[in-house]
Amino acid sequence: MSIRYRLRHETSYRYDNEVALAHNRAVLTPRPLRHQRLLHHELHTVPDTGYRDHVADAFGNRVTSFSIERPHRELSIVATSELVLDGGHGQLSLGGVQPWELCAEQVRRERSAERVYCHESPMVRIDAAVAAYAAPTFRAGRSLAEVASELTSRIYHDFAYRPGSTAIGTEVREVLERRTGVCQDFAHVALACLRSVGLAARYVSGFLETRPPAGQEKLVGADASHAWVSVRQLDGTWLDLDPTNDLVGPTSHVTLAWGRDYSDVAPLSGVIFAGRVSSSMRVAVDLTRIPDDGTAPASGFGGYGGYTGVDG
Amino acid sequence: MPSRSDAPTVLQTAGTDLEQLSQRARRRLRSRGLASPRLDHLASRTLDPRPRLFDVGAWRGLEAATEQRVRLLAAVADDLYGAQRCVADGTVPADAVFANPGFALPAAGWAPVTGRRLALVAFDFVCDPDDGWVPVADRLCSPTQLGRALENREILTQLLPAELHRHRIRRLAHFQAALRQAYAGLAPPTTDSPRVLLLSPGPQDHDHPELAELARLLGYTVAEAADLTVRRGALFLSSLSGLEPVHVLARFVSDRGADPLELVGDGSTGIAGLLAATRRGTVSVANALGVGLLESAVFGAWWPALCTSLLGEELRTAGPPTWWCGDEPSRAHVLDRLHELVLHPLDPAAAPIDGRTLPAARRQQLAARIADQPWGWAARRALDPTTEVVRTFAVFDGREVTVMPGGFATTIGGDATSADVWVPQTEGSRFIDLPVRVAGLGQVDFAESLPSRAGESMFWLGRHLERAEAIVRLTRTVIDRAEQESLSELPSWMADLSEAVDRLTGTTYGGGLALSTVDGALRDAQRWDGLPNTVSQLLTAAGSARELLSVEVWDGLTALRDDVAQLAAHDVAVDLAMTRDRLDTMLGDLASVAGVVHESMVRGPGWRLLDAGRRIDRAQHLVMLLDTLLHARPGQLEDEILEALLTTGVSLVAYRRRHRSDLELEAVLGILVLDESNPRSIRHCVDCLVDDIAELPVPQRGGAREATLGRARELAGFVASIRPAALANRFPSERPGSDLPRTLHTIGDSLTALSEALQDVYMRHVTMARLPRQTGTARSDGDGGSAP
Repeated sequence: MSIRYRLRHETSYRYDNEVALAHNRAVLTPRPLRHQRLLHHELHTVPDTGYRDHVADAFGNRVTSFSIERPHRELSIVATSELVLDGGHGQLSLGGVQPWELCAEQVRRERSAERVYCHESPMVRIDAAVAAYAAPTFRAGRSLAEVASELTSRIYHDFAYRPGSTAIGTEVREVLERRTGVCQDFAHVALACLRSVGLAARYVSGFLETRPPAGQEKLVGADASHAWVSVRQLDGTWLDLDPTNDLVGPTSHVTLAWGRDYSDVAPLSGVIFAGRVSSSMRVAVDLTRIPDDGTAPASGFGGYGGYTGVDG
Repeated sequence: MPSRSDAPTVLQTAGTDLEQLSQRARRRLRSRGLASPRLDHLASRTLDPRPRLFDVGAWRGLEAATEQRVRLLAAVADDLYGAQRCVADGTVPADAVFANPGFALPAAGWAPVTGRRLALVAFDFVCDPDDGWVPVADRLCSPTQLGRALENREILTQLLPAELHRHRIRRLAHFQAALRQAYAGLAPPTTDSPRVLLLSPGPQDHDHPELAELARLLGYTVAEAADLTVRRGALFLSSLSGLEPVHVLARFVSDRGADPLELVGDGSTGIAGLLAATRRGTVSVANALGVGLLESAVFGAWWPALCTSLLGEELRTAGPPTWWCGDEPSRAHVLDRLHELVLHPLDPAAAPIDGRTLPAARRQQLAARIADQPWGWAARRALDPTTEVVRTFAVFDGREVTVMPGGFATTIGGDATSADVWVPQTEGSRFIDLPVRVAGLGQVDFAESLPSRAGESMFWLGRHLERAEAIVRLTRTVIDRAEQESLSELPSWMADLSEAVDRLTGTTYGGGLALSTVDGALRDAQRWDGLPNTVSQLLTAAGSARELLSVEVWDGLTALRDDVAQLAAHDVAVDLAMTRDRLDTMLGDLASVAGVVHESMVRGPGWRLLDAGRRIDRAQHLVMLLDTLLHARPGQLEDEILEALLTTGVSLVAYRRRHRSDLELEAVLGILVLDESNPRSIRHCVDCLVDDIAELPVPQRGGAREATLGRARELAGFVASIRPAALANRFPSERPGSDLPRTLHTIGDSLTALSEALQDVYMRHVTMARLPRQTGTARSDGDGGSAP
């Protein structure tokens, strides 16, 4: 079943002083994938960009570099995309029923850049605590599907989902200690565990459609940036694990980009040049289903049913 | 076959006293400001005046090894950041690259605009008794010490001209020309007058002096990251006259932190957008960002195989035996011999760990770390720190490698002492080293094109020089008076003088004794505007504008540093005569700096800013002095006060020549404030300031400069219109401009405003900050939303 979506991601920065120059890097273009067709994408900024460049990064993501070269006190960046999702992705392959050690062994012999997904990365450090947390799941002879699903469930149950309890720089070690976090923290914990036993695992950044509480209208901007992980299976395909939602296998998340961890695919990063300045940021995300006639409801779900296969 | 005889001989020069030669060498290094990396540090560098003389045959071997190594490293860099064939075919294990923090992912998969990743490289070789020349380190990110090598040669050319001639030593000019040519050749094809810039880690870095020196020798501007900015996808230098395009960046900084936007660093340094500009092809960075990967010691395990596979040649000189722990037999070997090996982490930026000196417990920890991440470690045998190292330099223009016929000899243990490397000409090659002209190089007017940062430093250098002089003059005046007065009955004007000392050095007068005030001004390092801090700031400013200052200025500044250290050694009151002598010496040194600045410096924007800084400070000190000493108090002004004013204002002689009379307030003020022919008068300072501002380049935002010039002219007009009689009125009156206090305030305020306006126009500095990033969020049940 194919579903058409409109995606709007708006970031606004406000400064208490004039900013002379800003250089930014946006990873906000959904990757075209077999099951995910990108119909349209645009990035609009106020003030207008001084220059912009679209390049593919080392992971094949579509990255936009741009600068704002006139003095400004506010910067708004709106990325809009239209895409069609055709069924799920990141599913279990036949290789997934093989013992996980076979996958690790195969990955160990890999002679390509995919090896970057097997090692520590800037935000995923592997230490004894990680190995200890992973150990009960990765018992000899279990299938990759089994360990992936158990790890996902364990993280889902062991960690409390608490927005604001962690920050961008929070390390895996700290998340493991405090047992709280948000999706990117859980993704980093899962990555650390998978890599600690020699599997190749990558961080996926994307979007998730939210459902309003029963009887309420969906709020504009209430959808969310999301993160999950994929682990490489024996046949080279990748299996999705969403520890935030205890979900393994085909998801219908919108995929933006992937990399070693958050630092590779942060939706927006940037530096500004100014005298003394402090800044504040606001992000609003809307993921809306579009009916076949192409008109999107102004807000909320309208008559379109919830999101299947996900259990809050 | 290479052998021990490959080692160069230490050339003893017959009939010359080594100690004397060393001293002359030290003096020359010192006067070039190269003896100590930073003026405010006393660590010193010396030159062993005995050159290392190579045998022609031995040099050929080292030259060939260097030449091949450049081509090899260039090929490996191209492959690892391109097709990665040597990973796919197993020559290099994938983990050595992909687990390596030195591998710059954002630099992978695309090639620089000219396709070339290397231009200047340096290799450290040691001479092994059995294996001959062995490369022990590759310098790709920051091939430093070329500046010192060229300097050493310049100094020895002066010290041992006959020896150079007698041994028919090859000159280095050809290499310098080849280097310039190679850098110019890296410019994007879209420009026909390429601008090359040398990027230094900054004046606080111990390599900065020699980089500034190298830039001077090559005719490039030296810049630090904050001087550069990326606009519309291209690189620019912020100069006093605006943004100037830069086409080639000869960088001497590490990969990490070169671009805070894409390369992981500490986030506060680097040029944001540099990598994007490079990818766009508007600028070349040499050596290309990412090549630091190859500095990783672990590659030592695979150079021979890489050379065969990529160049189809046998490696001339393998490096020291390297055991990579990712390989099981090697790991076993290393774990058995941890106590005799040096362990190199994969990350080229991480420091090696010497297994020999590690306590047993730490050695066990290390073994556990190696077992845990075996691919992350390589081991080598330790080298004796006294082993002599010869650093060779080579230029690669994409086709040919030019090896410098010389080098930099030092030891493994440290590079404080170095020696020149001499390579004789081969028979019949008399003319090969004639300097070559570099064709097609556009010239940049360096006198006009000054980085804003260097301009700012010159401005502050001028201000601090003036403040130092003012402190010395005023305290000397106080000491002279203190010698004449008995300390028990302090006259009121003595308290005023003490107050002036305190105000000048940035503190509030607490009613202390004159000599303790002087002591604080001259020796208290905590006092913001005290002499020690003023001179220290002055040296910092000079270090940052080093490329604009001549050897003589540098000499004078070094002397100032020593003067302050001497003054700080003893309490001022212990030996007043000695203190006074030292102040005299310091005045002499200040005068010598001022003399060189005045007589030998080109009147470019740098000089103009220095002079402007000087004039502003001089006039401000005088305003402060007059305000403090002539404040409204009843009764007659003492002659001592007027005389102190004239002495401190260096105008006593001028006064005596003009006025045969006793000291009179109106005449004294006429000399100090209004006399346009007295170079110390406020009027003269303000007139000079107008000239300086008028001669500064008009920046792209031209209006602000005109406004500043207008304000300066307004001030000059005001000072010219002051009536001497009105000035002599010490008591505030109703009408503006008709009494001393109001007049002084008007002048003082205008000077402050002018100083700020100048900084606004020419030095407006912005700092770089990271934008906050979005935290990920949600669960699908809707309690997520977007995080702030």
